[in-house]
Amino acid sequence: MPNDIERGFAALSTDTDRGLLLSGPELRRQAARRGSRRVALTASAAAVLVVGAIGAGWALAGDDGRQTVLPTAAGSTGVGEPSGAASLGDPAPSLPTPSSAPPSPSAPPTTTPSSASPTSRPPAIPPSVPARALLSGADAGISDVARSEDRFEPLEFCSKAKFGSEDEVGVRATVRMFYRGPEAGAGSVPDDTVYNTVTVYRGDGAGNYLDELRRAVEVCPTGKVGDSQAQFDSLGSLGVGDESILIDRSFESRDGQGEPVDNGSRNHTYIAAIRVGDAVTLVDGRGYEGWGASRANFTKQLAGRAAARLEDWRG
Amino acid sequence: MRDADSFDEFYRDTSARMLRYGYALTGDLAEAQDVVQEAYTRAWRHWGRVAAHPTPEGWLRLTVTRLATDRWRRLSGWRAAVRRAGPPEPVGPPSEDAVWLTTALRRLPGPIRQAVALHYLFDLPVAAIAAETGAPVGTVTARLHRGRTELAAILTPGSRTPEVKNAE
Repeated sequence: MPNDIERGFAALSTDTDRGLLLSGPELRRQAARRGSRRVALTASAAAVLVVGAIGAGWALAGDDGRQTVLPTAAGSTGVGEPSGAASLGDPAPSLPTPSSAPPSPSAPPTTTPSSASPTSRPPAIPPSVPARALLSGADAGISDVARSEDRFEPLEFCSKAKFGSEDEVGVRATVRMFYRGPEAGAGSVPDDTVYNTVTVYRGDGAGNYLDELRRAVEVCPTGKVGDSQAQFDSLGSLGVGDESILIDRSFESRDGQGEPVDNGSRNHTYIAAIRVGDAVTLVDGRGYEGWGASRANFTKQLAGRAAARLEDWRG
Repeated sequence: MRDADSFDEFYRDTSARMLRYGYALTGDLAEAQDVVQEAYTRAWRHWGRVAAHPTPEGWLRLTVTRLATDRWRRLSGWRAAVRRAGPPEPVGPPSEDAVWLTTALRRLPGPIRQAVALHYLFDLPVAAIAAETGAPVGTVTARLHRGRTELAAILTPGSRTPEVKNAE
């Protein structure tokens, strides 16, 4: 019954008044602190944070801005400054649109505010990306590593995919290589051609890029990659770095002449992006003669190793 | 310098109903608090651009939707830590009717739950929901119809079985 639904929503609205929200100024202060102190939140730190948070600026949510600030608790110290979102990764929705927003404003990059507080100094962008931050021939299964001098092109999804974070790139380097899995015989053809790109971003660019990738998969279930029709699926987080995503990019299987085999089978390639602080390592398996590294090998030997290298450099 | 006054005014005017929306999407008021605060934090960090958006509140709603959808992946680490320490829980227990609704909403697929919440909480017409979610008008109409039908079936007093009540 519609009336039951309306009554239910009315009850939910009333019930929401039990909720706690920070006051606007306190939320801004915490956002500034978070921008300037990207520290991992440990359980012990959280305890202090919450004790502070309860007393400092939390208010009951009410209609029309009616917010009742709760009494201040004692013990809000320097380290324990309330910071309800202190440890969250900050995959801010990529402006201009956090997905299917109405006509999005193509905000010029020059207006992009930094996540850092006005009083904090943004982290320095290193002059270059060292080789040790990138996959190398010393890593298992990798050979023929070469620095790519080509201009970096954002991953292809479909026209709806936007990568505004390109405006926040500080420094970047790409290497390409061949990869052979542990089961490959001596002298066998490669399993995959892999591009590994490490980018250090200004401001929130790194988090934004991860958000943009997630969004790209969401809005582009399929898309053109070169001349081929690809299907994209998010395989979730890899559980490494501050945040990460593994994407399955699959193509209809083709025979040796390049004709579709028409049996429903697909060839899979994988893309991994791992963020560590202000940097992202992107591992793009582009396949080799229609094949690609298996998901298990890609995840462990390529994405996992790339994450470890970035952690060593920027972690 | 971002315009703190305009942000504070926007926050004051919209945060309560944004919390209702987050509550409808997540089914948990404490999680809704997290999601909504996070969304506003991001809005403030990009305030110059969000304020210039044709519908800043629409931007917030979409951010809340995304965070609510991905909340376990994006917020789980922080939430787990905070939960252990004792977070600022909502004040008092939820009302029975609110529990009924959130339990029913959780049974709906995400896009349907979103469409229903936008319709009932923000009074958005079908065309506006379609524009905001990027779905065709016909799809939104179908989602609303299905959402209403399924909610009505769950919320009708005779169907309020103990099993449903204890589902969560």
